[in-house]
This record gives sequence, structure tokens and C-alpha cells, in this order.
Amino acid sequence: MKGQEELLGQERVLEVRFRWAAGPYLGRFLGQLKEEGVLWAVRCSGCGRILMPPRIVCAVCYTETPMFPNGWFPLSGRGTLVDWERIIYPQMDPETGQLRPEPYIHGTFMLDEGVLFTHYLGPEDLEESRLREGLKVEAVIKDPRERVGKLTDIKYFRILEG
Amino acid sequence: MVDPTIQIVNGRLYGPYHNWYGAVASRFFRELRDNGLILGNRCGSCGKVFLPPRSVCPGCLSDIDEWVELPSIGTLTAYTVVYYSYSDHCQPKQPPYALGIIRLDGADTGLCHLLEEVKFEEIRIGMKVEAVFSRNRKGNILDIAYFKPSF
Repeated sequence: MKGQEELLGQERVLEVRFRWAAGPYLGRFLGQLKEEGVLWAVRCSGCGRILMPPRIVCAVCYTETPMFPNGWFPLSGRGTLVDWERIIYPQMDPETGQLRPEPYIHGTFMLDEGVLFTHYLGPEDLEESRLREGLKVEAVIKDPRERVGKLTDIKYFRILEG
Repeated sequence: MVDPTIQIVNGRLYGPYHNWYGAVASRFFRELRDNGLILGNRCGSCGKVFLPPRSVCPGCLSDIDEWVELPSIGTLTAYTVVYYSYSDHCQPKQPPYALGIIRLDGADTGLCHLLEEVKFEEIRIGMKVEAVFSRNRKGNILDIAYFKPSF
């Protein structure tokens, strides 16, 4: 009976391990984040815009930016909430193969130095009715022992009361 | 102060998934698992014999429903030796190992599988090889453990 034939399948795992060279700019940025827990930016000497993370060439005016520490400066880690999305769909974390706990909020922040940055909002700020444009936010950085030199060394941004 | 620049960032992609074989490949793997048989199928329109079997002929787009039992002996048509280890999950065994494309006698297509019981430097395109079946068969392609030279 065709309809009763046993159908077979297989549990499989796709796994790819990889390494990438961060280069002198992003590598320094990640190194500063790991060592100091501070975000660094570079100002373009051509058009004056702030590049964060720092890039070798400004994407707007194509001017080469200087190497650390010339033109580099630390950011306060503070800013304001510009936009956010609440993610309710369980998505797989490609690093672990596990589903990310949901819901969580992904925010866009205008940092006080004048550069946009995107990251998560913290678990204490899941209540969407509290969120509004312009709320003051602050980066929450992992403890030095937990930092590995990735953007996830920033745990999340939290909303500063008031 | 020591330059804290991070030179290398380690990354990993990890995705578990379930893969259904479908009706045609399920029959292929059932016969392989239960009876140690290698089944191909023949296109009734153009006569090509496919291994692994396919539900539709890629050449003339006809539905295929004629099954053929193939011998476990064939000819090596291509091979490579893998030295690079890139995953604990996506490689059939720890490198180094040899992979070949084997055209079983009577088939028109090649099956990719491991080559063992042969030194890498003695592998030759055109050599006769035969399938060695696993003792504990589970319904996947490693129910054929590997191919070895056939004398």
C-alpha cells in the first residue's frame, strides 16, 4: 500500500565554524570595548561626520580616516531612543541553534555625540507602552571578565528614568 | 599599555534541522537499511538509470516509476582527498579521508561516497570499487559504510 510506506528522514546539523580578521579599525574598536568597556568613534576629517564603529574610509565623502588614537574619541554610551521594534517571532540564534527568548525589543538610538546606533533594549524595558521617542538611554556593558571583544559585550541599552 | 586590537573574531553558525527524504528516497533508504539492496530507478522515456533514484527525470521531465536493483560494484569516476576539518557535524568522519564519485554498473549517474581500504596515492579514476555495507544500518547513506577497491 503506497500510502502506508514508511517515510524516512534524518536529524541533521548544519555547523560552520569561521574566523574573520577584524582589521586595524574594527579590531581596535572591539579591543577598546573589551578592555575598557567603552565605545570609540572616529571623526571623518573630510566631512566631519562620526563613524561608529570606525571605518577606514568614510562612506559619504571617501576620505581616509586616521588610525587610532588620532581623531578617535570615546563615546559616553548615552543617547536617546529614536525608534524600536518589538520582536515576538521566535527566531533562531545562528550561533547556538537555539531559539532566542522572546519578546525582545530592538532599538535605534541617537547617541549624544551625534551618531546612530542599534542594539537591544533591556529586559526591564519590555513594556512597550512606556516607550516613546526621545527617552534617555544608556548602554549597559558586561563585566570585564565576561567581555570577549564582540558587540554583544554591550548587554543592552536601558532607559534612564525621567 | 599593550595594544588591545582584536585581530581575529571567532564565529559559528549552528543550525539543527530535520530533513524528510520523500517517497522515492525513503524507499531507497528502506531497501538499503532492511535488505542491503541498492535501488536505482529507470526513466521509462529516455532509459537513463538514476542512482540515487529520482521521482522525475531531469533530462526529459518524465515521471519515473521503474525500480532497478543495482550491483554493489562500480567504477570510480572522480575523487578528492579531504584534509581540512571544518565541522564536527557536517563531515562524515575526521579528515583526512577520500571521497569519490562512483558509477555503479548499470547506472548512468554517480553516487558520492567515502573511499577506504585504499592508500590515497593508489586511488585511480576508472578503478573498480565495491560497496561495503554497515552492520548496524539506520536508513541513511552511511548504511553503505564506504567503497573499497574491487579486484
